[in-house]
Amino acid sequence: MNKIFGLALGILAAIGGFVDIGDLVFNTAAGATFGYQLMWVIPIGVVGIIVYSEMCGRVAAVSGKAVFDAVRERVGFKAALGALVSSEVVNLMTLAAELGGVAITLQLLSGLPYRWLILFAVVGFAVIIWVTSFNWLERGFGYGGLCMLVFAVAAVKLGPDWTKVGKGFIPHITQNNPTLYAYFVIGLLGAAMTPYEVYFYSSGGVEEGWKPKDIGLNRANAIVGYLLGGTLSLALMIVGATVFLGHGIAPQHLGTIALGVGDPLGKIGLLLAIVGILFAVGGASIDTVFSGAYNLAQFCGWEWGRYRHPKGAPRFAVTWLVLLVLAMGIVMTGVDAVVLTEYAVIFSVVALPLTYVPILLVANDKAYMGRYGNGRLANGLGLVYLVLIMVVALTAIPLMVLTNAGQN
Amino acid sequence: MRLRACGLFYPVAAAATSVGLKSVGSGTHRAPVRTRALVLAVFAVLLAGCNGGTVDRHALTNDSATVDSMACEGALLAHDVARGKTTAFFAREQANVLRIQSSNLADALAKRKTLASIEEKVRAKSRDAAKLSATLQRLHDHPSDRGVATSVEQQLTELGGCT
Repeated sequence: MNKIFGLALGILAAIGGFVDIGDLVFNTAAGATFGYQLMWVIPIGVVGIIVYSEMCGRVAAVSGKAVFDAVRERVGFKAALGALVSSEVVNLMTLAAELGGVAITLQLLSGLPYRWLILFAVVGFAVIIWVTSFNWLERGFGYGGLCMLVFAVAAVKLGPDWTKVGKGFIPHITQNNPTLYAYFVIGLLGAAMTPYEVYFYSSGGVEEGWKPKDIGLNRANAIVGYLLGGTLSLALMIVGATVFLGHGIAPQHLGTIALGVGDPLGKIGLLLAIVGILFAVGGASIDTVFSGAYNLAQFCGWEWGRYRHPKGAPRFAVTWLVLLVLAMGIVMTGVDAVVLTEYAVIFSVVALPLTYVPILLVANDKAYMGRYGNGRLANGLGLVYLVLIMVVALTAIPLMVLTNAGQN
Repeated sequence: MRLRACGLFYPVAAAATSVGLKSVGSGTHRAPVRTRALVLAVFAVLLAGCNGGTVDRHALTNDSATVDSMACEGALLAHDVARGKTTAFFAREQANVLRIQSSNLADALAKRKTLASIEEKVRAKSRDAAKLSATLQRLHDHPSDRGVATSVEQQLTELGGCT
């Protein structure tokens, strides 16, 4: 029974972590712009996040330490500080975008004023995090986010040309605006491999008290959870290609994504889509706010964790509260959540090496990991993805400038 | 995915207040090379979202596509309202977001400096965007009226040349 509950961590990571506002925006926009041509990027991103999350979870299970703890200990102060600063900046941008997304979906459900809903969301999150245990947080948002499966139903109901969908899995370079195509490739990979996901995942493993005997559970979590997230990403892209490309619509708002489900599935489908987005984006808000607090606490050597009462880890509690307030301040300025998401994803791509290089080093350190260190497969895949990560990190900003941030 | 003109900030729904980007403070110390490179990179990224200045053919093409896209999205929304496939809150809020965006674009196209050779086309596109905004206002005001929605769908489909 515990193992089944343990899988909830994977589901939360998948819905609230893999499918966040970045995935919603980039997958739907990619479908609306290039049809099924970019389907091949999603499996690459999914395998990447599985490989590195599995390493993080294994490090947590073997050492009882989350990634940042291990990074601080093994790669030294300067490198860890670089990783900390970059991850905190990206985390804050992402958190602000997710909070904006929560307020938008609440507005689509209630019609209440946007700014009041931002405040409501922040207070709501603060109360929920304060009074709810880690287990209930993951179950609540994880299972609520399963409403996102309505996108998979819509994708099938829309009856796409499956031959074209299948051809989309074959990597190729398009002749039609290759620069914009490359920008979307970078964005889709960045959205799939966002750094906060692995930080949250490994800290979550420590919160759950994983031991070496749980390495199998860790592997199942990473594979099942992220595969589910990847399936939803594919569904989002199919909906984007079938509904929006077909109608000549370039989606620019979170509500537009839900509209793609309303057409084939009606009012119930639309409501499920909005609720699913709310839970996915809400879950991701919790992931990001915790991730930011985990990283700082682990870097500074503070007490941390949701299993402790806030009084037992006061600096950790203050950090996540401050992050929530800062993110609220950003969204309250009137910044567009979708545009902020695009910037957050591209900046996270730039920060990817600072996250993933130390993880590979620590997971491969036999002195630290003993017999649970990386095997040949994990090392091989880790190295391949490291090269890929370096390439996308170097090209992200130039492509953003060249494409006018995806405008042309 | 098309961003708004200089589009990190934009008026949000009913509480529409746009916020400008403040300039980064400058110090008297000579910045290290890495710092300067970082500042340049940040500016490059911020500028990436901007297409202000004179409207040229490329900008007109982009803005025309944006107007058509908004019209088609409005038509799809109206289609769903007409067939009872949406909720009143969703229809009202989504119509409002599109209305504000099209109204802003209409203002921008009416006022921005334009190449003389395409000025008439730019102003015509501004009128299209204003018409789009007015039509979406009807949907916003009657988010559950199927008759209004049918009429709005027809007008927007025509305006956006939607398929």
